[in-house]
Amino acid sequence: MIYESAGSFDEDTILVERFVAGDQAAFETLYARYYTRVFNLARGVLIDPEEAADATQEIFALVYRNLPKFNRQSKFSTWLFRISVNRAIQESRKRRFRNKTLELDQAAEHPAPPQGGDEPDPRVQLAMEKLAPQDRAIITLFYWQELSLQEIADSMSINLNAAKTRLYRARERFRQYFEQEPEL
Amino acid sequence: MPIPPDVDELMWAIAENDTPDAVYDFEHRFPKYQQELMRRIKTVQALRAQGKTAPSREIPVFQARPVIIDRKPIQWLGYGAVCIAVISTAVLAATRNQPTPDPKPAPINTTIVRPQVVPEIQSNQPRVPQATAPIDPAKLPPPPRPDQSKKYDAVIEVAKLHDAIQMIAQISGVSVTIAPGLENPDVQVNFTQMTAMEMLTALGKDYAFTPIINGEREILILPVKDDAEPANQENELH
Repeated sequence: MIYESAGSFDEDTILVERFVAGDQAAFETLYARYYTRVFNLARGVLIDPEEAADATQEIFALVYRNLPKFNRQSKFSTWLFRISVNRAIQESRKRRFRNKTLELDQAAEHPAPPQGGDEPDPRVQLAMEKLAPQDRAIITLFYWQELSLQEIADSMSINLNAAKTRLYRARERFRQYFEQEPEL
Repeated sequence: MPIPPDVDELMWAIAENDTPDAVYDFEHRFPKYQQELMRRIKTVQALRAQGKTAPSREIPVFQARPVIIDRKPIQWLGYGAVCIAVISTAVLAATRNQPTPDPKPAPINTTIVRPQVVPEIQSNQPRVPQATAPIDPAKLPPPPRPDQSKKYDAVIEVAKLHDAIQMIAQISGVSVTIAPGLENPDVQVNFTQMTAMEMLTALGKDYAFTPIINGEREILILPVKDDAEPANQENELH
């Protein structure tokens, strides 16, 4: 994956302690360490990279304010992902009624040819857009962030079986929509 | 014809691992699902590839932005507290200034006096009308009507679901009644610029309940979901 490797639990905990003690630089280290992962998670849920960038800033602003209240009963990354998932889903619901679909429909009518391996696949994008934000979140956590089902369960405040079930259903729905899109 | 659940699960597992040996074995065991397996492999590959196409963004400088929280509910609480304090003081003052029992009490020169019923045990003593507060309840300002269209921010890091529901209802000044049977897991709440009803509806989608408006000042929480998606069902994978 292209992600920066996230720090270990101990390193994160030390940084959290330092930040709570007043060291602002410790937060900046956590921010730099997790920015890309949080951004990718937000992008998976919100689709639009600019909206994802805004949401990422809001997520870190929330983390900044609430870090002193972090109870350390879970890993920092789990806590961060939980906030990120909730916030991204929340943002997605708020923006659901905006005119986003129109842009994607236009893109589907006039699909740009794929330019190399780094271009997003419009079929995937269209199929993702049709999913509910929660489905997008679980798919992103599993396929993009490569979290285990237990980590996903912790990040979404659900139990392991619920995480399995949700992933199964989300994946089936994605496949349905993906296969409905014409191949380029 | 539906695919048997165990074959379905096996196909997803093979698609996710995408090892040629496993694909080969599967195709020999289940030749009729060969196309189906290929479609799943394509789906998983497309999904994973999308995750890898993340544009390499320069990490922007972090700026902690202040949260704008609607303080009006807090102001209303403040006004309410002041009103209660004023009324209490008036009642207390009126009670203390009551005339001591006198065989010939002076008539009280007010039209708002409400005599209290004296218990029959003291019937051998002369009855004295006792004044309560010199305040006409009809003239009291009515409590503020909750504005259910008002939007708020709500951030709750971790709380029990029932407490979170109560807190959300509280900020918009409505009471909430939770029907029995609703689970009470730990939840995290993070809503921005939403009405209390919108927040409860959104929360209900995640935790399998439906909020129903019951008059102007009450919301009922029923552990039922009218959404087609049973979000919190604990079904096992087959």
